[in-house]
Amino acid sequence: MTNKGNAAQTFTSEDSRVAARDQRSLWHDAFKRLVKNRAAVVGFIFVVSMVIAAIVGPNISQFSYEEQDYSRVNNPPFVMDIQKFSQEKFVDLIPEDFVKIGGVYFNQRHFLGTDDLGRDLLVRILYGARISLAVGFLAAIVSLFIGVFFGALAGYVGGFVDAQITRLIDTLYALPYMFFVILLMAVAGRSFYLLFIAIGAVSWLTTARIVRGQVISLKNSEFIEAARASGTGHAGILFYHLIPNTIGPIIVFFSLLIPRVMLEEAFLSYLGLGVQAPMSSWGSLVADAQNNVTLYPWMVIFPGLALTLTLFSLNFFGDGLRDALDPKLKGKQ
Amino acid sequence: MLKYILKRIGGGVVTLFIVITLSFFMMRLAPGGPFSKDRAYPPEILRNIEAKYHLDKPLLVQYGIYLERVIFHFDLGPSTRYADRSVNELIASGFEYSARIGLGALIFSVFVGLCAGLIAALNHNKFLDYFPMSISMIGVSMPDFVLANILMLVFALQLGWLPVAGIDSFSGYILPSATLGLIFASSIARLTRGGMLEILGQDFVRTARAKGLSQRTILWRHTLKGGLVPVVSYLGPAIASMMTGSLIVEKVFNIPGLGRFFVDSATNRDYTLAMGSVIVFAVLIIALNIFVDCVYGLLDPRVTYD
Repeated sequence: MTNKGNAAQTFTSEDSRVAARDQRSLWHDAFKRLVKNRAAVVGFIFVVSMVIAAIVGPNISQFSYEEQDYSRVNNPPFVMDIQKFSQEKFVDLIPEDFVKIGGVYFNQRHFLGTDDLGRDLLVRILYGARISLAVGFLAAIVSLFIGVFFGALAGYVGGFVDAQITRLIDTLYALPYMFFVILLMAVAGRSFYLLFIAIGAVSWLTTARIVRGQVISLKNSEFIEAARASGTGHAGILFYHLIPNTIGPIIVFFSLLIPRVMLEEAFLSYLGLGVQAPMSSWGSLVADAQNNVTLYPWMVIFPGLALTLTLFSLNFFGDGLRDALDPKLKGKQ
Repeated sequence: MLKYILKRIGGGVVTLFIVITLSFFMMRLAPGGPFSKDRAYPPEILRNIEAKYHLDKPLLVQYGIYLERVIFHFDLGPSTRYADRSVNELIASGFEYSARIGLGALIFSVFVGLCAGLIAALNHNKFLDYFPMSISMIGVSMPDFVLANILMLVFALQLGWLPVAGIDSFSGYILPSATLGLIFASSIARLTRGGMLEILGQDFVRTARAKGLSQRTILWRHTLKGGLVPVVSYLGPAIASMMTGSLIVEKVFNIPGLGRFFVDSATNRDYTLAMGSVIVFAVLIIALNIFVDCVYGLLDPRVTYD
């Protein structure tokens, strides 16, 4: 008896000592694991710099995204031999624009060259970053709201409502929705707002499923009982108690949803169904330069690279976040 | 099992009906029509043309006519854009190319993805694990049109091994199929690795090892089937996305496949051709999903159909 009591006592005092030494919540733990993941940190830094460049860049540049300069059409970012380039690619270069560094002539006026109308490619890429990133974040947020609403409703109310919402989600899952989005964009006009509403409206299904599952597993737990006993209404239970508890998986899903949505935006813009000229997005920049890719490859490569690196970073960050918030999953997917 | 298949086919028919109905009304309710061009026809001619395509009747009647023709005659109607060619003909001509590219991409992605995933799983946490997985991360993140351009610039332009565009010969199919295949190979590799790692860590594998079975027997006889279940369930939606992806690949490599018809027809309000493309894509996707779900049960005995 005494032995057992002693053991229990030692354990509790040990426990409280640990707690006093280092307060570690779930979020604190997750943050520590995230910071240790080098790929995720690098990805995060890259995305943040891209966002800052997209916001600041077009404003401080001496060129605007729609300013055309017919004396500097199809100028490359760098060139080995100005004379030869002019003859082979049918481009008249102005030698003063180029500075020779180690045998290579770099374009000191337009760092990434110009497009077929003499517009500065760097500014157009940064301007395109605004559109691509904005569509990515906004569409993901739209889908998040729709998904959380329907998921929470189905999970909390249950019964008939749950059955109907689940059936709706299952039916929509079976639809080839990308074809609907293409059809919608093609027939209903190509506006920026329609773009993210269309994408957001079709990507909420998985969010709804995740939230529904979480809410169902939580709604009979003791702390919900306690809230109900203390007189909290349905709305209060849903918004103050249930939804905040689904936030972990939602954050992970959201961070991986953004690159997916950006990919869809790029896909639509590439097909000519996204933003319209003179505005640019990464997808439309590649599409515009597509026909002359054999002659002027830099117009395709730079926007393509910007898009790929951003998606790459977002995916790494999202993966890191998932590993940090749910270490059991690590390396499984 | 038979009951399950019948039930799935019934569900597929319902889905197809929803697809047809939604896309029909979505197209019709949008402003503009197939004959509202810059150069307007005189009203009497326009009336004649519209009568020919039943466009003068009320919308619901048109919908009825369309459904009747599609369901009972498998006739997708005449194209309003390409005069005197039926949508069936146009789609058949484009489908030939899309199907070849899709098939090539499927074979390529499954082969490359499985190999990479198996190598990674068998060399867990070694160089041969990290290396293919890093590459697959690029494949997951890179949009197909960027990859297509890079492959084209390297293999067609710099090295001159393959044609830049066009599909006059077999070699013309390599780049489009490889582009499409590589994107999906990345996901397949990741799923294969995950599935295999999970199976290889289970007790029965340890028993098999303790029994003295060779690595090869363990791999082929005991683990491959179970480890590939996630890959199979991925393949249904993947094949569907390969078809949307082919829109892009066909544009980059200038191939007259289904994808080009689809986007152009939607923009030109060629109602019948756009509808026809959507229906063909939807039938393919639904059928493949049902097929994959049935195969799924054969691989994993724990899955029951009811």
